[in-house]
Amino acid sequence: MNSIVSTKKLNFNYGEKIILKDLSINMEKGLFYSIIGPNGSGKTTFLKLLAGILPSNKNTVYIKNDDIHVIKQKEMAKRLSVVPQITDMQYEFSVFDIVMMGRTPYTSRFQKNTEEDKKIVNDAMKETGVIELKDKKITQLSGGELQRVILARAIAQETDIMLLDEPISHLDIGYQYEISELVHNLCKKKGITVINIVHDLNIAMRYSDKILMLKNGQVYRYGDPEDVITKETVKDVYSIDVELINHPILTDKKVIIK
Amino acid sequence: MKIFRKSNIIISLLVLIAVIIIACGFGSVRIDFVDSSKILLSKIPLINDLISLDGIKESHIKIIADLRLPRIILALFTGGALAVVGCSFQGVFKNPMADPFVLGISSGAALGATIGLIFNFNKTIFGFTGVSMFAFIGAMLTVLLVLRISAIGKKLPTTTLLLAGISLNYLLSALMSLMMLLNRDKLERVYLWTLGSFSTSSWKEVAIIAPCVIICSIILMVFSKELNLMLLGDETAGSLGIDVNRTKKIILGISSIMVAVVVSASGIIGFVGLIIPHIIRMINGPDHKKLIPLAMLIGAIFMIICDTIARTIISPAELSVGIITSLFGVPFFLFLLYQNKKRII
Repeated sequence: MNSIVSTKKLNFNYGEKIILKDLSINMEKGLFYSIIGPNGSGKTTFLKLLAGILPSNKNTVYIKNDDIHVIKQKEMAKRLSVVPQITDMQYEFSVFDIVMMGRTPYTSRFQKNTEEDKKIVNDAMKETGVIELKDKKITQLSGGELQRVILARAIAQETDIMLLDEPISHLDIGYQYEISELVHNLCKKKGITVINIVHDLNIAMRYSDKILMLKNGQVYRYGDPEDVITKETVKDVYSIDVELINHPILTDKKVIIK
Repeated sequence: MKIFRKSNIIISLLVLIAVIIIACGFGSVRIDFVDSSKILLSKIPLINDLISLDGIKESHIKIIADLRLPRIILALFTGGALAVVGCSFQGVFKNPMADPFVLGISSGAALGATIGLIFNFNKTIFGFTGVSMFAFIGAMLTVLLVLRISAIGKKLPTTTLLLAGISLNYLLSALMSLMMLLNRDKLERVYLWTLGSFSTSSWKEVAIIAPCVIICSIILMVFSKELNLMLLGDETAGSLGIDVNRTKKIILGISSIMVAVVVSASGIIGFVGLIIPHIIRMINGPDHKKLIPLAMLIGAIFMIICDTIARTIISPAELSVGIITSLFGVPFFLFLLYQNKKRII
């Protein structure tokens, strides 16, 4: 089994409200997964359960075939990094400081940051194009710049799995594609398994190897992009009418609202 | 305002030493700088043979060694402790308005002291009066109660902690006011206790407080990395490998002990714990590795200065140091705020 992330009958409730129901899924190493679905379908909850941020029952979530409950916090941070939707930061750390925090799982308490750590951090900043902002305070960055810094931090964390919770939702169209390209490259070049929550169906179609479509906390469709995003599925899940047309230049399909 | 990044700590240390010496010289009896220095140096084990105290009045030596020095040292550690805990709480709660008393320590200590004063517990143990012991017990019980109320399984949610602490502050303050009103004759003593004072400082108290503050501060310094990460939020800190629940408990526990100890000895001195961390962040940035040691030093300097003013400004009578910290601290801070504001524009 090439499984890197899997869930077995994953359930989650907020009090009486059922968010996820019997969700069983298997994800393979090195692929780009997008999770789509309407608001309230359980996407973020699912991601947080995978990351161990929300508590799950035993024997329901497996990272690299280990039950999440037996993995220690620090070890988890070496396997899995998270890029949240928005970072609220009012403290004036520099960009370098923030990206260096990605090395936390690898540095012991009394050790200073090694040369190797600094190199990894600098390389990560180069990859996301924020190396020139190295000494700037993060409170002075734009939304797109900040998101690239957080992405650099996740890269510096050197994990096999990267979870992204709507990383581009509040960015302009240029940044949306730029960051998606960046993450896609990471996946293909470095073999990082990407699990990416996204609202834009076209971005999901272009970059994903597989798409997971959730509805009401359950798996509605899971598989190749063309099989998951169709006129019928979109109508059923989002209640809107769309057409799928061929892209004029490239090979992928585009979703257009009727 | 990032001046002399690396040498900030050394400069602060030197200023602290200078302030100690100068403060020794102030009081109803003025003693000059050179004499003060000599008397202080003569107390240091290895150097004292080199110092000659000829020509210095015996009474001066006694005034500094027995009266002023223990008081100054106590002010040092109290100011340092409050500033350090201000930093750790602002970090753990991710809230720039947090001060050392948000978990109800101040009102718990005050209520304990009130009970002690009203029921006249006069036994003195290890230099701590009965009142101090009651204050300490009151403070620690309050913190434990707040932690207990707020805990959900293993987690300690930040907002719940703050709300529970604030609620208990109101409740215990109300109880304290009730007791004061029912015991009018003790009203003034209780009130003066709450305002804070170093006038009853003794070497015995220093012997307990100094090691406690030093050890607790060192432990907090060891957790600098975690504190930095917790500023990013519990979820992010967790995803970077920090055991957030365990870290919170340790930091809150150690900080509470430190605050309870200094508050029970000297009363409730406000402003220091809230503002000194902000002042240092303006100069040094938010990295806790430097923030905590600088807070210790600058909190100490600030407190010694305030205490010296408190005991000399209406000499031979004394003002409560808690009044001075706010009265003189606030304008200074507003000035810094204004300077910072101008720079942003």
